Parts: sequence; structure tokens; C-alpha cells
Amino acid sequence: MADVWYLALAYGIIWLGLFGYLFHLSRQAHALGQELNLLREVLATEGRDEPEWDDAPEFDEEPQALAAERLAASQPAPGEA
Amino acid sequence: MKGLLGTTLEPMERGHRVVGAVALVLILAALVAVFVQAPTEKHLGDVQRIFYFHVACAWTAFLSFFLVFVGSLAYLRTRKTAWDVLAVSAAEIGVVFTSIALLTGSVWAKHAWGTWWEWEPRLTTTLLLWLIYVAYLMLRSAIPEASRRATFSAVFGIAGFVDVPIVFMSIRWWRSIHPAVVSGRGMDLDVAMYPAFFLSLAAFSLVFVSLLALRTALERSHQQLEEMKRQAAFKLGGEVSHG
Repeated sequence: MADVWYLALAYGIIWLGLFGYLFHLSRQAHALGQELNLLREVLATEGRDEPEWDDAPEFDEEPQALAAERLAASQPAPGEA
Repeated sequence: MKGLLGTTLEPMERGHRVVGAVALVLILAALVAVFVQAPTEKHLGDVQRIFYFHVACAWTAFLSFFLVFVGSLAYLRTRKTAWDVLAVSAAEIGVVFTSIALLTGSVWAKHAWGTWWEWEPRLTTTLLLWLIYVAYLMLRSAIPEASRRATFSAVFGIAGFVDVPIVFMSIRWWRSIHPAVVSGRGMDLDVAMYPAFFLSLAAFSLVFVSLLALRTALERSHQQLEEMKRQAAFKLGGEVSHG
């Protein structure tokens, strides 16, 4: 019975290590994506064109459109001020 | 386009997916071979089945650190960032597999030797190997400037690799209680253990390739983001000062 316990512990460590590392990578990728969308948002709210990047990765257009909407909503309508 | 691990960063290429799928199939085949086909050892019983994945993890760690060595050498020669990306990605994966090898070895040792840890040559040099590459990763995180970070860590990556052949040869050079898979006479394994052993090696090698593809894509994206931040700060700062 002790055999099975040691075997389970060892294989548990292997799967925990591998899936734990995969989870760590996916979290890093998610954080990176969020940071990049934030950067785009900041640039959009600054009202400037984004700089042109070499080999820029592709990203969803959604956050930029959202940022533009938020910016429009935060500004007073003409004649309101 | 949805890319790396479901994010919108660098797209995961079709080749990566194929390697990942083949690795998964090989892992399943290796598990069947280890638990169904491989013979049960007379003295250690089923605990001996730890050996197959334990050795495969150690092999993958060696492979990773060899790539750190190659990437570091190539970076110092060419100064191309791609080699630095390869080196850091392989180092991180190597640390993960060395950790697993140390821990699973410890579980095996508890059953076989009656102790979780023994300060014998193979274990001690492997622990040293783990410490070297953890230090490599810590060194990288301590240097903010990209080219200095790459240069220092390349030198460290080359020097650190010296321990890999020492780990491998330790059981021949010094008196060791660690079992030897490959001795001076060749493979020290029963033929019936070959399928499980080689399937495990192949499966973990492919898992390594798959993880390396993910990790390098992530590192490239990270470096692109840093570059974009610098360009954005420069552009915005320039406009503000002109305005």
C-alpha cells in the first residue's frame, strides 16, 4: 500500500509541476495582453495616433473602440459647458 | 486572431499545436507503457515506476541547459535578441524539470534508501545545477537594461553549463549510491523496460519542444511590449515638450 502512496506522490508532483508551469505561462500571457491593451487605451485617450511599430503583434480592436467610447462619454456635449 | 494560450498576443502557429498534440499522445502512450507493459521490479515493487518519468525529466533538464549554453554562445557571437530569448526560455523550463526530477527522486529515495535526501554526488551536483539556473533567472530579473542583461546572463549561462557534464559523470567519478542507467558497459536496463523508458524520453522531449515554443513566443511578445512602451514614452514625451 505504501508503494502506491509513493507512486501517487511522485506522479502527482510531475503533473502539478507541468500543469502549474502551463498555468503560470497562461497567466503571464494574460497579464501581457492586459498591459498592452492598457497601453493602447492610454494612447487612445491621449488622442494621438499610435506610433508605428516594427513587427507589432496583432491585437483585438475592441479595447481601442471601448476607450474611444469612454473618452467621448467623458467629454461634455457642445453647448453643455 | 486568438493566439498564445487564448490571449490575443503572438499567434500560436499550427506547428506548435501539432507538436503539443503529438506530445500529449506520446505522454499517454508512455503512461500505458509504464503502468501496463513495464515489468514490476522485484525489490522496489511499483515505486520503481517513478524511474521512467524521473529520468525523462532529468534528460529534459539537460536538454534545456544545453540550449541555454548554445543560445548564450550564439548571443555573444551575433548579439541577436532571438538567441537571448531562446536561452532564457530554455533556462526557465530547465529549472521546472530539474525541480520535478529532484522531488520525484526524493520520493523514490525515501522508499529505496529510507531517507528523503542523501548528500551523495549525483544529488548534490543536481541541487547545485538547480541553484545555478535559479541564480541565472534571478540575475536576469535584477538587470533592467536589455543588452546588459543579455550579455551578463549569456556569460553566466555558458559558465553554468559546466555543471551538466559533472552531474552526468558524478556517479562514475565519485563513490555514489545513485543507480546508473548508462554505465561504462552501456545501458544498464532490462530489455523489457526499453519501451517505457524510450517512450518516456520521447514524450518529455516533445513536451519540452512544445513548452519552449510557448515560452519563446511569450518572451518575444514581452520584449515587443517593452519596446512599444519605450517608443510610446518617447513619442508622447517629445510631443509634450514640443507643445
